[in-house]
Amino acid sequence: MKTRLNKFFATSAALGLACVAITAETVKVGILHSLSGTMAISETSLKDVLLFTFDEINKTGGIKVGGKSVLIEPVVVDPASNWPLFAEKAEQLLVKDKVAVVFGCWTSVSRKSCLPVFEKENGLLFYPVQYEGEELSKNIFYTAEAVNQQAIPPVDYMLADGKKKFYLLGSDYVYPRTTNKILKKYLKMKGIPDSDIEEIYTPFGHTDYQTIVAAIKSFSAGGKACIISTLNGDTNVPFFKEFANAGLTSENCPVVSFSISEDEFRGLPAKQLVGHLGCWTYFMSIKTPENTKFVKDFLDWVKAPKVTGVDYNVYGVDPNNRVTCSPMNLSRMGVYLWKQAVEKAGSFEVDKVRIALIGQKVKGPVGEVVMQANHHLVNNVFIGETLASGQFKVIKTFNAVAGEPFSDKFLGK
Amino acid sequence: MMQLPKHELLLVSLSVLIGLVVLPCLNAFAPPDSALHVSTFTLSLYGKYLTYAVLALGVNLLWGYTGLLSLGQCLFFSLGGYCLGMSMMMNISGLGQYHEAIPDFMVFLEFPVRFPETAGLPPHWIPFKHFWFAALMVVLVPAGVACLFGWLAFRSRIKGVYFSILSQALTYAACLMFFRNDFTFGGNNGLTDFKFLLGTPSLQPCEIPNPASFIAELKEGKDDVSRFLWSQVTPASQKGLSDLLIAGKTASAEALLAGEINRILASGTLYDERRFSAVALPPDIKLLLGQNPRDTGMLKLNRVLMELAFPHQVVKKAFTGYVVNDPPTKRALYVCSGLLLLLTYLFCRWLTSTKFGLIQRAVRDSENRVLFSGYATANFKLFVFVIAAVIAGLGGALFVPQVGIINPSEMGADKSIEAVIWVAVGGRGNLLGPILGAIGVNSLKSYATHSFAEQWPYILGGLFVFVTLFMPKGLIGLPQQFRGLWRKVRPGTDANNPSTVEIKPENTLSQ
Repeated sequence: MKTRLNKFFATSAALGLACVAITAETVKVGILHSLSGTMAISETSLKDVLLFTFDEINKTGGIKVGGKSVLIEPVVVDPASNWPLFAEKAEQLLVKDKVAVVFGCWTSVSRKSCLPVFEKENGLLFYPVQYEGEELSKNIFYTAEAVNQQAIPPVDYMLADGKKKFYLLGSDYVYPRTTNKILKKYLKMKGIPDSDIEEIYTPFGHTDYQTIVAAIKSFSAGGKACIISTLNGDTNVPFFKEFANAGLTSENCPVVSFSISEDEFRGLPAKQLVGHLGCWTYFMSIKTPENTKFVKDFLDWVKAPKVTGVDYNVYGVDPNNRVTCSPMNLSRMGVYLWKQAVEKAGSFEVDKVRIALIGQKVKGPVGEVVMQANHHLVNNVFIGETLASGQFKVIKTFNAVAGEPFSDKFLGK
Repeated sequence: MMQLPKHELLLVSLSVLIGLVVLPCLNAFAPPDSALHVSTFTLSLYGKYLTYAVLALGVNLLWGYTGLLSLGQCLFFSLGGYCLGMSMMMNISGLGQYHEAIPDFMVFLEFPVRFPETAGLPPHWIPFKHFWFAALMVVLVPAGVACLFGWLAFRSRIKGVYFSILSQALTYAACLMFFRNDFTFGGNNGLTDFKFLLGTPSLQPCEIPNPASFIAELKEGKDDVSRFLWSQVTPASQKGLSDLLIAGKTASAEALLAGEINRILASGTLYDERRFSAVALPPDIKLLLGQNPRDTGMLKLNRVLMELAFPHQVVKKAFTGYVVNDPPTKRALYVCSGLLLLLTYLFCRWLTSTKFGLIQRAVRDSENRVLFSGYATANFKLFVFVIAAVIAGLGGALFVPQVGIINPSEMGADKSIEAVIWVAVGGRGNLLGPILGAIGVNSLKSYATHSFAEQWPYILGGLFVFVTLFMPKGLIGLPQQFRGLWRKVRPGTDANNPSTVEIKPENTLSQ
């Protein structure tokens, strides 16, 4: 009888607690990442890491605003890799759900599609994926790597390594086009003649790289050549296959890829990419106490995903072979920057938070990030060599590189 | 004269009343916090579905009535959208990211280098600054493409599944072509960040009757506003202005000065307390200044401030365009979509009730017999194909300003198949089914991608499988299907006679 009574009390206490937890003050936060369609393979990981970060914050008491603790309540929508749907879902989040902030978008076109909505409704969007710059909206904060953080450092590294010829290869869309345009100007400034720069674009999903690899082979025949690749997604598989078949290696012609992170390696045969380079502001393999904890916590979380303190069920988290990568880290940094800004402003109001965000600093897993007045981050940049395990070995570090969206600011008109 | 069945007439009138009168009125007049208020977001969302319904009617005209399963209708939808999008891009008035007169993508793709004699505009873009031209192209471009493709396909007697595959290939090829940045339609990003619709908020909204005296006044710098403006005019333009005046080219000087001033007005807030200390501002303008408006609001305010600061020098042209994202514009677009849908419906109703419609259905049911009866079926099919393309193009033209983006992925193979699915779900071979299907499926999709973000593909996929397997006549055929079932289970009826009971899928299903 006694035990039964005890049980009864314990249950009611637990129920009471649960009620308290659910009725605690919450703030709605939107996640706008494709969970279906072509971009789902990349964007689902960002949704996962965002939910993980919300859980992290809620577990430690939420956001402290005006003497109260406010827990984050996620609102997850699926824009389904459909660009008009991105605008619709963004408006739904802002107008219907009245979320305080939105974390989302991967492709530039999805960001461009939402931008008018965020400006019209005066919303707040954090964008975490490396991009081409040439844009600055007062309603968007770009935790992403700007071109001068991701593209210029490896080119400097290649120049210092004695490379004299550059083959710029990309998928035909805005990010590669703009990046290569900037790189061409930069290379010219560094004294590389036009004849030693080649610029080629292939459509999305292109599979036939025979002619291009043959051209690369003759281009790199004299040595001292390298390839700057902005090829996107699964196009990389046929390219690197053909590349290896032609007898080219990272020794005689290294490839620097800007669009392949640890997460993409889950779907690529890493073997063919061994020795080639990547450049990001985060690598999973970097050994710092903070990163080790982040990786371990995240890998534990995916096995039992939940968001503490709010009534939200987490679905669709793949517990196997998970990794962390730069866009994931930058998504998480965005959440912490926003949290600090809200706490500083003492309010969730967009206009106040936007001002408070400037100058916010967060100690991240691989170093400190600072939000600048131009809505981009100061961040550490790493060049890594691909290993057969799909991880990167850091071979060069650039400390505290300030992101700059407009190329005429770092190149001159 | 066409005749509507009574229940259909009732349904259509009721829908028109609610959709075209009640909803827009509730949006415009109900106070925003009342339960009756329809938000602009919701209205615009339904506006989008209505354009989809127009597309579905086109698909149905082809598939349900003529037996032509086109899997490329979204090509025409997108072409219509691109034409209107181009006219909106021509009117961004320097409000893009780069504050240039030409669209942003032309700036970063260095079109001014590629097309120097037109200041960066590809020649085929120039006529699109006139809305009437764009509106004409919304009809002519889809019609032209459909005519060419249809003529080649039907002349070669391509039909059935081969026609479907070819139409799919056509839209995919167009999609790849539009993806290319060199194709001058914005590549992968397409056209987005629209500002104005209809009319031209001219790139030279400031008319300067006497440029020589105005330039002299600015140069002299009699007050803070003049000094500020002159300091913002680029040194090259300052020199250019002097040269043009010396050469006596007043008109060119005016154009150059107006261009410079409009650039300055678009680049930031003109007002500054100290700068305007000498200018008398009316109270309503002071109130507006306190609100610190953004984008188009800022531009409008800057132009008013210009007039106030230089009452004798600047005559502002009336602003004739509409701001795309303003609630009244969105409401008007919704009403236009509704009217277009109504007109398309009436047109299809009329067409299918004529003799032409009879032949159409005869072609669907047995083309060879019609052919042997002496009819040139290829011409009939070509005509219907072109009509369906025009319908799709008109729908696309209204779709684009409401969603704010058009890009090549709208031409993707999957989108056209989606349109066919709406028709299948709603019920083909009649006119209300496709409308119901397009609005229903898309409402469900909007709802499910928000409320069941992780599971919605299963919900929608399940629905499609269910409808195809168990509802051959779609949602609209449900009452009929239930009647059939009822007859089957009710004793005493002629359940033994299968012909009155069984729901036969139309023979086009086998295609």
